[in-house]
Amino acid sequence: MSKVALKANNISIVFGGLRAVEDFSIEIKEGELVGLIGPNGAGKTTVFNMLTGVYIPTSGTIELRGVDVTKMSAHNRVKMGISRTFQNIRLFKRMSVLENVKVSSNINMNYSIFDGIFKTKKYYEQEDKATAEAMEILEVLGLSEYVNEQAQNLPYGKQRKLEIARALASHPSILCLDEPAAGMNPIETEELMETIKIVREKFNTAVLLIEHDMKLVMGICEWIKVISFGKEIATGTPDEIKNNKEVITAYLGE
Amino acid sequence: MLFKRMNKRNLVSTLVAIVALLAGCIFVQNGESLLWTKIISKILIFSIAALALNVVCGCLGEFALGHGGFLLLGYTAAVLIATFTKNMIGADFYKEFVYTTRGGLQPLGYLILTSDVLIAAVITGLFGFVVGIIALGRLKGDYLAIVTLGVSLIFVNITKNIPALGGAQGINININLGGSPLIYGIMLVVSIFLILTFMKSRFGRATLACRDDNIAAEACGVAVNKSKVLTFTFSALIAGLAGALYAHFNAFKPIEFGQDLSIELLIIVVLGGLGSLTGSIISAGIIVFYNLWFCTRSWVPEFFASNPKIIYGIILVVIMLFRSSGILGTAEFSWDWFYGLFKKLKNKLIKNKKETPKEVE
Repeated sequence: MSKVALKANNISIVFGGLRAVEDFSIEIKEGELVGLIGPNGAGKTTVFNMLTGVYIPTSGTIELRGVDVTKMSAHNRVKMGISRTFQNIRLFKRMSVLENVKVSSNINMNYSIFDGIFKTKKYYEQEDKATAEAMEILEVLGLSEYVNEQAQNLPYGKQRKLEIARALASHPSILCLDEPAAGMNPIETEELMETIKIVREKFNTAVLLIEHDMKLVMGICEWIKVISFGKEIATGTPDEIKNNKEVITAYLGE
Repeated sequence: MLFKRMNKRNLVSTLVAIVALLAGCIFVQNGESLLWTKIISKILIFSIAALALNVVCGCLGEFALGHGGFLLLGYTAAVLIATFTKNMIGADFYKEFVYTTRGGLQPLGYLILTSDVLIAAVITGLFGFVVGIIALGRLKGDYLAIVTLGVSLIFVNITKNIPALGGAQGINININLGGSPLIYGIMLVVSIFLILTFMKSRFGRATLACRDDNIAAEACGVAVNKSKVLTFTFSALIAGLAGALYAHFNAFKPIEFGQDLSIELLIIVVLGGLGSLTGSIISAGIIVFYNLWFCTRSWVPEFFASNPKIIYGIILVVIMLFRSSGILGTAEFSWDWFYGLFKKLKNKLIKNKKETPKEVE
């Protein structure tokens, strides 16, 4: 139907003697909403780190929109259309909300240092465009009233949303969310579910979601991959996963 | 284009402030007091140097201990270039077209002075670029501080031991172009302008992002290493400018460069507030004023007068204990704040007037 946004072929990574992730493969089409779950220590975040370029896999390849990015550094990979949020919030704390989002817009700008210092027409064009875009994203995520606030002063739930907003500003074709509901109460989680749905429709991006909150994952994901001890144990729709014996064993034991 | 977006009141206020600063410089320059010329000059130059260091320590969030070395580099480069040009063009020409009879400068003199200083700054910037590439890509935090310290020691020792570059006494400058407070004032305005616009651009945004979180910056598409090297180069360039300006004033001796200067600059930046340009300028004023004015008074105890630097340690300890963010923290001067202050004062006065009758009743 649609094109492949992200494809990983048999990626593995070894830390010392530890095989943290082994032969992990995934193929996400444009616009899909996919969940990645597994017990603590299964290697979910390690997979994320490989996909986004924090770690380079020991073997296997990663493609973004058909381009091989396996050896590409993290900041270059953002330009290829992948962006992420972090499990423990990593905002630019002392910058304003708007500036936080605009950091990600930097990759869409190409004015020179001369343009920057003397504020030429090009500078204003690109900066204005970025500001308008950032405002739009903040509006969708319901953060427009905090635009000039320092990021560290936002309440926890809003900080999570700001991280998503920041990730969206680089026009990703796939957005990786690392436990976005961690530390949220049920009402906030519900709100987040809505947000993710809206974001996906509005910005036309695929979403890969790591989450422990089963209600969230089962509620919105189209299909789910389960890993345990670095190995894939199941793939399927939420209903299939719920009734999968291996998955239940991995989570609850024999 | 440049000032298109500024509101009219702020634009006018800024221009007035700049004119006032430059007028003040001219006033001091034409005055009789050598001491005050020296104080104002040094405040202006130290402000530029402190701003340069603040770009690295405050805006980039990395700890650099070697900016004294960059000042020395700018100084040496400026002296060498100035000597070279003078030898090329010839002293007679200088007598006729560069100096006025009273020892001041003709327009051509100002041109030569400015280009000399700017070229020296660019050369220092290039050195900063090399140091940045070597040090910043691999190191951060304490390690970077140690490397920058080492680099500045290298600069200092090289110039001390190669006679052509100055030797132990420093280069004896006979090419003094009569750097004057006016030039320093203009250069300070230029530096402030450069830093402010740099920080407002995408490069500055990347710099701040690196300060707050390297990993997140990388994940947002910021090339962290490149961005750091660029900012460091920029900072070195401004520091070189300060050093080059230092070269053209009789009253300063090159022997003042070295580790002490690096530390002094760091104290200025910490005292003013890491990340606050305004704070750096204010505290540069305080430190220089203390050094050159307070310590030379006859009523100051002999102990202080002969050991002016003893206060630095006390300042650091007190600042860290009671106000670790410095005088201004990260706050900046803005015209909105300035005029807001007036409004508050006015409101207070009106309130007081209204309240007084009630008390009488």
